[in-house]
Amino acid sequence: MSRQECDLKTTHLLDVRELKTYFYTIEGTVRAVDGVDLYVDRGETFGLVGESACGKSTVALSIPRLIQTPGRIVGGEISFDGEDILRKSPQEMEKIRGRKISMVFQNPMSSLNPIFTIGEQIGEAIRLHQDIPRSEVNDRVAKILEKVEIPDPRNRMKDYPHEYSGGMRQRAMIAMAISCNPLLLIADEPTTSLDVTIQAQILELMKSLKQELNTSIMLITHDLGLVAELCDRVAVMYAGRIAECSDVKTVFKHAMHPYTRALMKATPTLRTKIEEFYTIRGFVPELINPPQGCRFHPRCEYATDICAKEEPPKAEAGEGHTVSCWHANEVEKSQ
Amino acid sequence: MGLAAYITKRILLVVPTFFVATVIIFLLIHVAPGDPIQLMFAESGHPVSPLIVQQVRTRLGLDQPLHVQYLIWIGKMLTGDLGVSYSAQFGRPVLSLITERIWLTVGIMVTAEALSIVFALALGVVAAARQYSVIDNLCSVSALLGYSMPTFWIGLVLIMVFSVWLGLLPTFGVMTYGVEFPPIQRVIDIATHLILPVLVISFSYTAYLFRMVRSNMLEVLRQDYITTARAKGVKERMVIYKHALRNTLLPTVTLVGLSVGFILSGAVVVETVFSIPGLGSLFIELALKRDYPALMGLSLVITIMVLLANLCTDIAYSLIDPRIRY
Amino acid sequence: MKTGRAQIAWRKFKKNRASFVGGGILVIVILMALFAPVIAPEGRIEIDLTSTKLPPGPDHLFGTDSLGRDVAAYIIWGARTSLMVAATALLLEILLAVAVGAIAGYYRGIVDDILMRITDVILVLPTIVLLVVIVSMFKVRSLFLIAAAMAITSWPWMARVVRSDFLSLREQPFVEAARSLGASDFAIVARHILPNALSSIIVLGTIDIAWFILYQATLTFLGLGDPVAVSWGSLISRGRNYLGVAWWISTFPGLAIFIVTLACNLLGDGLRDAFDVKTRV
Repeated sequence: MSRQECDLKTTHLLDVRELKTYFYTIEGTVRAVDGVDLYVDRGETFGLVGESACGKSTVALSIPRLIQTPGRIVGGEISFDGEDILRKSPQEMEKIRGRKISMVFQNPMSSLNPIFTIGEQIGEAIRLHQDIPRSEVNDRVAKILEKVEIPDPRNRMKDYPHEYSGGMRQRAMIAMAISCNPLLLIADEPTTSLDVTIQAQILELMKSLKQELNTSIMLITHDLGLVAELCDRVAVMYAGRIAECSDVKTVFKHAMHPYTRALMKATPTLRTKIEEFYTIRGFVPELINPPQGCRFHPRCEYATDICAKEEPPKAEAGEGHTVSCWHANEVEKSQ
Repeated sequence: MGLAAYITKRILLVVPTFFVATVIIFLLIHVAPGDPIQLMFAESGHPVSPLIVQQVRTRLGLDQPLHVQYLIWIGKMLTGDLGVSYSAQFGRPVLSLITERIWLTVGIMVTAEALSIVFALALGVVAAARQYSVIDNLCSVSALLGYSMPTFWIGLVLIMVFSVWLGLLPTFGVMTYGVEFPPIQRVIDIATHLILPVLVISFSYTAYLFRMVRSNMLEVLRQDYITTARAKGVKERMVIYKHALRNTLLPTVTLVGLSVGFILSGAVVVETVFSIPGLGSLFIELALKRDYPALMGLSLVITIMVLLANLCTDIAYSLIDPRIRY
Repeated sequence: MKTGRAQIAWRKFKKNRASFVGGGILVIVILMALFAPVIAPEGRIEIDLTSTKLPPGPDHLFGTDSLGRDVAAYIIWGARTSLMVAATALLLEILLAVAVGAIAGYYRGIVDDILMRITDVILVLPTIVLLVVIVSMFKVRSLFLIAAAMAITSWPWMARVVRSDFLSLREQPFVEAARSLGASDFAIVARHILPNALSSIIVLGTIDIAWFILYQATLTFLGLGDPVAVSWGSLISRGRNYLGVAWWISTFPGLAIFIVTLACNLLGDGLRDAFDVKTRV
């Protein structure tokens, strides 16, 4: 397989520039991802946060090119491990998926094939990408199941997905995803559909795996708590665009985008008094007809005329910190 | 619960269902207005004296209260006495009529069903995998057309083309009479007689099944676990034939079970059109002649056949779907 | 811009040219049937032994049958019969199915159980058996009987669909809201739930009409219909004996059945796709 060197010269493991993914539906073209830039370095955990329907799952599916009709990647560049992803043939992508980039999805019950055993499904991932004699595959599967802390792995790998509990299924999915030691693991809302206590367990699991395997992780979520615990850097997404991106501490404590600020304010802590729940007024825009100019302006307390007319450019606000807002400086000052 | 227990349960369920069916058939025939005996004799065209009518009525036990009649009838059924056909044409115990013809009908139905399933699955999967492609459109349109054609009309048109005009295939009947054939020739003779009937049934059924298989397959391809398979790097071909196909088989098997009636009506029509002496044509003839005793017996036998077919599908389904057993 | 289900359905439907064609054909057929006395005066379908088995020609578009009747005119009058029978069967089916399905789905519990047992009982017997037995057990053979028999064999399916719609719809918040405002059960069902269940009924009804036309033709072909009535099936049956010499007798009526059934199926498919929330292309 020849390495198609990317036009983009980059040192990042994953470098996404101006990604655009649109969905062509009866009601119009949904611009789910409309010019997204982000990068992930080796060994780091990157979070992508935003409310529902802001396009973050679409970003996750676009990177390994899993977008199906009526959706399509219509623009931008994706460089992974030095190679141009968007120029790869389907066969080449099949070799990358599962091996170099793997994914964990939100709903483990519907994401696992109900008619194959867990062992068969994980075994398939292994046999696809690694030259291991059949007799050893089961051993490998058992080992991985052990690593994700599934009890009695030798027997449980013969079970079907419906015989597992929700938390165990998610562990099995994670096992499947890490089975070939991928360079990048994309986790799309991995804990959203789980109970709070199970969430905590999966969180711990992911932390320990992160330390052990040094895999880069892209974590898609709307749960800021998760981001705080796991991520090194985080980008905030709104209506198909990145609003702000920086390391976790900066984003949480010194956000410069009104939306990020609002998100932080809206997340209650133990100290928040009941009367004080803060909500962002207005509604998330439909991506068929997003607002003109800055997409957040209808709901923003700092909005002025220019916000309604022109899109704010991406600006450097510090070391590795980018913001897209006309009034970022004001926001910073009003700490 | 375990597979064996599940299967046993399904088998046992057939029994009460069967009894319910007997009650319905019995009620349907006995509750209709008009004297069945007189109607029967009227249809046969023979003038008949009231004395004979009375005799037949007593012999058939028709002057007894309804529930007694039912019990007597059931008792007879269970011991193999399916009644006697009183019509001039048959005038024999129904059981013998049935045993003569049943294998022919079953043979036709099973062959048509097998052919249809194979074609519908093959085409349906391919059409769904390449949605909107030329082959998909071609198949979908053909299926829609085939599905909208009356079975008996297809039969007649094919007879016209292949038998009358082209002289390639026999026009009617199940074999050439009046000629002695050595066994192998006889088999071929029967086969050539049965090609058109089987094809006619298959044509409609394949069209119907194809549409369902395709829509099931499309549904399966939309599922999350298909995305997972792709995300694992499974080759697209395997995604379709391994991950998706097996999941499509499940609703398809259910569908096949539910549509045994379809094949049955096809058999009835085809046997009439092609003058094949099977259970289907017998059924219609008995109905036309209002030969009620025989009709009841035959209805029951046909219903049992369908129930058994449903049972087989249930069992097949439970063998494929791992979720059922536990 | 919020779009309601009906508007989305209409927009999707408009894009589906095939369904439009189907709908158009149906309209033409209905008009043809309505204006039968005008287009094909009754004289043309009377027995005329001087012009039997004439091939298609300028005088008789589709030829004449073995009794001298003009086939084209017969087809037009036959359309009347088919449509009337199908419409009657559909009406009966909908009445039964909606009544049973709505009550079962809305009240649930024992009522649901009992009603479902009844539908199961009908589903036990194979359709053709039920149809043939019902039609042949009455003294007089009539087309209304065929319509009633078809309604009896088909209402269980629609009842199930209606029931499942009701089961899910009754849990919706707007039902609770209506109830809390004091609306009676009947009002809730009629004004709130039924309109939402309408889409399933429309789709299923259209597809069922196709079935009714096919089955009615089949039954009359087999000889189980009213021997006097003008029906496509009986004409085809009469043409059986003349396949070699007068192929038009059986071919054209069959073509008519095919076209009408096709139109219904196209329409039904289009409606189903239009109402289906999952297709968004």
